[in-house]
Amino acid sequence: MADEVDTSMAFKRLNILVVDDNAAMRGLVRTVLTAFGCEMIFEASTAQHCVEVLRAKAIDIIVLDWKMKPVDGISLVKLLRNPNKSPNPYVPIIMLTAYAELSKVREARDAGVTEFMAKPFSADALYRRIQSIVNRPRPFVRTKVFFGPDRRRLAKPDYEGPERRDDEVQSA
Amino acid sequence: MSQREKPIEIINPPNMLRVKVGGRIPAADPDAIARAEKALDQLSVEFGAWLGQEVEKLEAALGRTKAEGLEGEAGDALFTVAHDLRGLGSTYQFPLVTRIAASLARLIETPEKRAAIPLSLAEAHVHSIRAALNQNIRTDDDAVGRQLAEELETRVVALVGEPT
Repeated sequence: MADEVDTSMAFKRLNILVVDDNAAMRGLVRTVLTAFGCEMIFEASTAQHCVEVLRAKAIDIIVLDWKMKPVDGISLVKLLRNPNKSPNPYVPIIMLTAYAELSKVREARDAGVTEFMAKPFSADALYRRIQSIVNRPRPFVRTKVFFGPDRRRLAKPDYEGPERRDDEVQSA
Repeated sequence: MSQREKPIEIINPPNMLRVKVGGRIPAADPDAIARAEKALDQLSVEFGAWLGQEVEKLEAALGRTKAEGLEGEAGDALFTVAHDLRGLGSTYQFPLVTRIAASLARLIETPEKRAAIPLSLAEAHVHSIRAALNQNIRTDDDAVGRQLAEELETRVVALVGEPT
C-alpha cells in the first residue's frame, strides 16, 4: 500500500509510556515493543509518575494498566481526558488489563480509553492496536458529560435508538 | 446517546502521529510479530521462577487474610495479586494458573463479595495454583487440572454469580 513505512522505522519514532504497578508486566510489554523497533520506552508504576512523565516527555501512546494504587487506571484516564488538568488530553491510551468482562470494556470505553486489550496479551494484539492508533485515529467527542475518543467503533448490540449524531457540530 | 449528552462536538485533530512515523504502519507484519514472539521465548527460561515469585506473593497475601480477615486491606491485597496472576499466568506458559486466578479474582473482587464468602474457598484457589506450579500442570488439557478449575468456578458462580 502507498504511504506505508517500514515497521521498525515507524516504531523507532514512537515514544511509548508503559504504566503498570507490576514490574514483570512492564518488562514483558517493553520486550515486545523493543522487538517491534521501539527505542523510546518510558515506564511508570503509579498514576502520579505517569503524569510526571507526560509533563516531561512528548509521549505518543500510553499503555495503561487498570488495577493500580492509590489511583487506578480508570481514574487516571478520566484525569488525562480532562482538558483543564491533563498535559495531553488527546493522547492515545491502550488499556491493558486482566479484566476481560464486557462490563469492564464498557467502563473503560466510557472513561475515554482509545483501545482495550485483555491480559494475557499477545504481540500481535498489541501491534494491531498501535497500528490502528497511527493509521486510523478515532475522532474525539465532546459532550456535557464526556470528552474522549469516539466510542462508536465498539458495537453496541443493545442499542436500538435513532442515529446518535444527528445534531453533531463539526470542528477542526 | 442520551439527551443529556447533547449537543455533541466532533473533533478531528490532525493525524500528527502518522506524520511523525512517516506514513502508515503495515496492517500486518509477520516478521515483527515473529521477532517479538522470539524475544518472549528467550525470556521463557525465567518464566518458572517469575511465576514462582508471583505465587509466593499470593500465598503471603493469603496469610495476611488469615490473620486479618478478607475484609479490609488484606482482602484487597489478595485480590490485587490474584488479578495480576490472571494476567501473567498464560504469558508464563501456565494458562491453568490464569484460569484459576481469574476465578479467585471474581470471587474476591469487591469488598461486598469479600464480606460474604468463606475464606476457605479463596484458600482452595491459592492451594490449587501452588499445586499446578509444583506438579507442572500447565493447561486444562490435564484431566485433574480441568476438574479442579471447573469445581472452583462452579462454587464461585454459586456464590457471586456469572461474570458480566
